[in-house]
Amino acid sequence: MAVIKMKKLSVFAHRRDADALVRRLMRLRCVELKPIDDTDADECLLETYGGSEKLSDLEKQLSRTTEALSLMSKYNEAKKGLISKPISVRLDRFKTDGSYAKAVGIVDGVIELADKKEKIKNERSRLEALLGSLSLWRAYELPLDFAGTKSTSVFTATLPPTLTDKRIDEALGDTAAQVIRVGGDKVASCVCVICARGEEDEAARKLSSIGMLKTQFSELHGAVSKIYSSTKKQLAAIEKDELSIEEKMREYGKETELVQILYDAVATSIEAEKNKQSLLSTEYTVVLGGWVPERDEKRVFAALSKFECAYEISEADEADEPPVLLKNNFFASSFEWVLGMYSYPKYGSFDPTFIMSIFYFIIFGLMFADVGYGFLLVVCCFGAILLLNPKKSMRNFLAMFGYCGISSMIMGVLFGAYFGNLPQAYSEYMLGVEGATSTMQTAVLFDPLLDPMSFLILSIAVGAVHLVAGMAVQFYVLCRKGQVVDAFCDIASWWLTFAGIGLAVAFPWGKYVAIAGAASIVLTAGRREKKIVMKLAKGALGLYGAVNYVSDLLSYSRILALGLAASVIAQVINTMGTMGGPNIVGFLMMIAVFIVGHLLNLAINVLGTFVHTSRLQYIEFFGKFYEDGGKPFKPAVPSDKYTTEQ
Amino acid sequence: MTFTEFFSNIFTGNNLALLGAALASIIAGMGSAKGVGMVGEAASGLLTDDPSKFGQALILQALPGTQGIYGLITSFVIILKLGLLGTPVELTFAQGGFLLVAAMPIAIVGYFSAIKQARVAAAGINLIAKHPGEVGKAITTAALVETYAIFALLISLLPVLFFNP
Repeated sequence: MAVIKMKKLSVFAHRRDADALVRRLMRLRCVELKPIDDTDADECLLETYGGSEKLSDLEKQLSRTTEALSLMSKYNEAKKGLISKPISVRLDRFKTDGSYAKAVGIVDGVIELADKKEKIKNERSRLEALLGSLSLWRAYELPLDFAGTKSTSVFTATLPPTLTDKRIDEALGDTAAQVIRVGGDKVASCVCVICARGEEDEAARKLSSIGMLKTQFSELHGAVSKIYSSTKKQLAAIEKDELSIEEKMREYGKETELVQILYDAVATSIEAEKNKQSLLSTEYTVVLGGWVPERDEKRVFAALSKFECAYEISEADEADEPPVLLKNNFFASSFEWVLGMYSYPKYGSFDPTFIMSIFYFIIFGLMFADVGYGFLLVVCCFGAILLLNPKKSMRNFLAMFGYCGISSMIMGVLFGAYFGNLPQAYSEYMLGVEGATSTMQTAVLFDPLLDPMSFLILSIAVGAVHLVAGMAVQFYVLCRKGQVVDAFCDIASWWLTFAGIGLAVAFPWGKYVAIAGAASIVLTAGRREKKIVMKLAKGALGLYGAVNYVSDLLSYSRILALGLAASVIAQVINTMGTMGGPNIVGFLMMIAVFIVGHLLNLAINVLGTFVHTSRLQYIEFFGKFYEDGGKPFKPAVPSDKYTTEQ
Repeated sequence: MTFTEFFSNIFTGNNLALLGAALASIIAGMGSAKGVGMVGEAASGLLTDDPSKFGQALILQALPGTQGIYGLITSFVIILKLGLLGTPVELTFAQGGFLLVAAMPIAIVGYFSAIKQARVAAAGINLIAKHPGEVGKAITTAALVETYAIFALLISLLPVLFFNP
């Protein structure tokens, strides 16, 4: 439970070593590199490191790799299912042993194949459309671009299929023309019109009046049957191409792991390049600055001593804003991300993670007290950690909810909730125990649904402890800063008042303690004012702070409300599920309703409980003492999307 | 049938209590439906640009849904007290009126708090569009609005739970 002390690192090195140096520090995973903004340095050092061209090349390579990976994912037979173990690899060796070039080749090959596939798909649909348009003309034996002989003229057309030959002859009248039917379907019949040269316009005009439409075959030459068969041949060839592309893709799919390593290698290079861009440099030297946690100082020294460079680790200045890294035990460190969602504590201020985690554990359990739901949370969260081997941030997220599940189970035993009132509902409706829902007791302490008042008092009491703990932290923080007088006047006087109110319930003399506390508030709250009148006025106003404490305290009544919400919904589900009675159908219905209903209730209430437990920490607890605005420590690290350092 | 008879037949204690249960679900549910819809529209706008934010957007969209659930809980407890799922209970006019009034806080506050919460959550969608890391703050600001729905639920539930015909 502490904010770790940070030290400032500065290194002067050969420019030719810059890349290796940055990569070595990234592998240590404990240095946050930062741009040097020293005005002195600006004057004597000429330029920043540069290299933006290389960076844009790398970014292009990364986006191509991502594209290739998404294309290959269909063909990757090795890894199916949820569980994927990271690949253990040495990225620097990967770059030098030729695998890098091979992987780049695979990426290029995959993208090229995908382009080819796209082109083939377009060609295929073009050919299929052509076949479709020619299918009605298959019996037409003249070449499609044949326009006629010296004395005759030929054109192709479609006519409405309902026209009879007689009707066509009537329409043509004395024009020297012949209509030959070639084929057709329900929509149109295809015809070839042969007429004397010079009379084609006349024939066309007459036929148009009965619904003829001329058909043009542009860019098609030769007889239909020939075109037809050559198109078919082309299609067959395309199908063969497609098969061979699929085959090649499957081959590439076997190499997915190599491309995944490439992804991390490129992403790591990008990170290194980005870090190098902030370096200041001359022609032959670079200056590198950063933050190192005190505990990792030695490791950084050891790594730097292998390079030809000058380095120094110094204390942070007043003006510096070092990044914040928290150190907590295994339990509390799972709750650091809850703190991070609010804001990290300022560097050098108090880290409340441990105290918060204890209250988080208790309040979450009270709000969501249920053995069944808690058990599901524990199984899902810890199961996922064991089976899926998640990254650190995900692991903490899961672990926190796992711990909260344990708390839910403990509180569930105390307040007798097992998936709500499942034991009661099951015995009454399925086993036929009369009145089990109203008489059967599973609670060790009491049932919040039957005795909500006791639960309300418990909620408020937990709230009071939480608030006093917040004030105690404030007391400690003020004392550490040397403001002991403030600590006693602004905090201890309130405690005296609270204690007096508490004692007054049991002993009549308690009220004098409370009055003494209130008097000390009135007398001291105005201590910073100069005039005696203002001192008294400000002092009386100090008592107004009681309103804040009361409203903070009442805010904890949400523990009861959300607790009731969870158990009442569970009760609804149990009642609905057991309605069918003790028979096969009723039993099947019960299982279906329980699975859907209880999972839904779990989801809704975990969200609600998480949000409102967090709120009680952020506003009621942190409000008393927290100094926010810390910048989280983000060390430069190699990319580990698919791989892990060997 | 005279008007008085008609009136007293309709407004029995049980019917008044049932009216309370119905209103708690109807009004709070309407608020939640509207609220979840509003955030959903904002979320779809965000998801067209960046489908990977679905998880975060879903949490924000779910927040104004709770008021409807609080209404449902109140309705359910009233229905239990009426014995509609077991042995029916005969309530007097005054008792029915008691349950009807008890249902009002969550019905009315639930409606308004769902809609106001939805507006904060929809603004939160804009926040996570620009700063994906700040989803915690978007959730917390929206959750503050829910406080009053929770208090209303408490004030609706306590009289109903203590009610013994």
